[in-house]
Amino acid sequence: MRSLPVILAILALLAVGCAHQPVQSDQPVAAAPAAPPQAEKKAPAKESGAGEKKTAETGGELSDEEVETLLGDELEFLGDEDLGPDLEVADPLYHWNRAWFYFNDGLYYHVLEPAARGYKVAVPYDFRLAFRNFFHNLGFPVRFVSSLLQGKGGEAGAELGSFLINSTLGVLGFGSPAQDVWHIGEDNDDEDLGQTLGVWGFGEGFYLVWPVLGPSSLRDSVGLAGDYFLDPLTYVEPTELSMGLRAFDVINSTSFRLGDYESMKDFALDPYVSMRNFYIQMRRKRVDR
Amino acid sequence: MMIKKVVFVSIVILLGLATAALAEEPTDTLKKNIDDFIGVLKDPLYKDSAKEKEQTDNIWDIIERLFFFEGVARLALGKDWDKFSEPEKKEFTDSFTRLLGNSYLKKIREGYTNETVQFLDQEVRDDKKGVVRTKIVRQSGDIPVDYSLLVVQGVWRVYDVKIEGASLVKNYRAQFNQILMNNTPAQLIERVKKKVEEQEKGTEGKDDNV
Repeated sequence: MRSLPVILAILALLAVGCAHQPVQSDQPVAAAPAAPPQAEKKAPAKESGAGEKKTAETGGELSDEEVETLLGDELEFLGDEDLGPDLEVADPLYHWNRAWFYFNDGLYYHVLEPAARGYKVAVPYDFRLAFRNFFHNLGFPVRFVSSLLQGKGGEAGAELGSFLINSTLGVLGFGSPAQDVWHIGEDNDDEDLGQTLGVWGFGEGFYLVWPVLGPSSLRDSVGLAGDYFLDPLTYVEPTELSMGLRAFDVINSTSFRLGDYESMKDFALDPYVSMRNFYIQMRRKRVDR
Repeated sequence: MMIKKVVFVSIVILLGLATAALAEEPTDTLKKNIDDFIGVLKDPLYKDSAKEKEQTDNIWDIIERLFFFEGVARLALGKDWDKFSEPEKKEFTDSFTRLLGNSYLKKIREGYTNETVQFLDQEVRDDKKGVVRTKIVRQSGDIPVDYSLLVVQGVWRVYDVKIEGASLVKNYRAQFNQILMNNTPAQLIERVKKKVEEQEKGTEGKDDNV
């Protein structure tokens, strides 16, 4: 199933953080608070002058009007950019969805997260990476067919090329020489049928949360059903093995993203709405590309 | 002679002002602040746990310099802004600033050792608004993060962050709108404050606040 990875990708978004190795770490402490707006003033750093910033001209607080002027068109866009001032997507099953959100939340903390954490400790990075490559390679039919149906010939070609290379030179897809060596399809969207329907002009319909699978929409659920039939794991016999492999895929990919879901919840005031909004924003973005 | 001097000096001043306002590209400002941020986190000076408060204060200075929180708060409330009284606006902005800053700080604290940021490109409109595209490179794969900045009193400051194309401001707007459908502004502020308290006590349980 493509969906859990999608959910996890959403969780991954919480990597808002961003951090990087300092290039100019010779100036670590930039003192002199730059007109810290109205938020609590802290004692200014002691080593003032260490890294004088271009903040000389920052004066005092800004008035409401000044802030509005600065934001300018960003504020004007508020009305038209979203569907409405309140909800970005219809959510007629709000209570039902919310209940499943709680359920999935508990599932994450009590089952998935501990499993993935233990797994991460037990299995070296290189192995986890190889498994991730393997499962990604198996997702080729979904991506290939979806690219074709969207008329994205270049992307379809890249998917095909990378599948052929990774399945052979990459030994059944455990390695990813197509990306590592030739950089094929590195920037590809992971296309799926839900996006394809979106490209064809279908709107989300409404928001839908599935148990275990997580956030979706009416349209993406239809897409998901199609993806299911394009997924080689569906045809693995016996069913127990098929399901076991899927579960393994989920645990393996979660082992790379531990902490992301937690981070989303840390940022959010209402995690259910936050998740819904991130899901919809990201899906729309991918449909538009 | 005198006139020449005056003209010369004026030109120098004017040029100086012009370049002072635009000396820095948004990418430079962003990069510098993030570098400073990581610099403070890594500084062995703060290894001593007694210095932790000082470290946090320094980081907060950087966060407040980098982010245009008044603007973020304004955009995140959208049309609901007008429902807030003047004191409520200020109270909201203050506590929302804490919420965002705390979350951001925590996120970077957890991630900076195994993530790096690549600055891809930037786009500047009318010298006063810009987008800086970056990519967080980490084991699990790259994550595109775009920063929207605008010039506030001569300094580039961030007013929105888009992760994989999803805007954080819009995300908060959806949450606040939903909450304000059944709650008063005062209740929303209370909720933000409660969350901040939990963050700062570090007692945020896993399952709470679902």
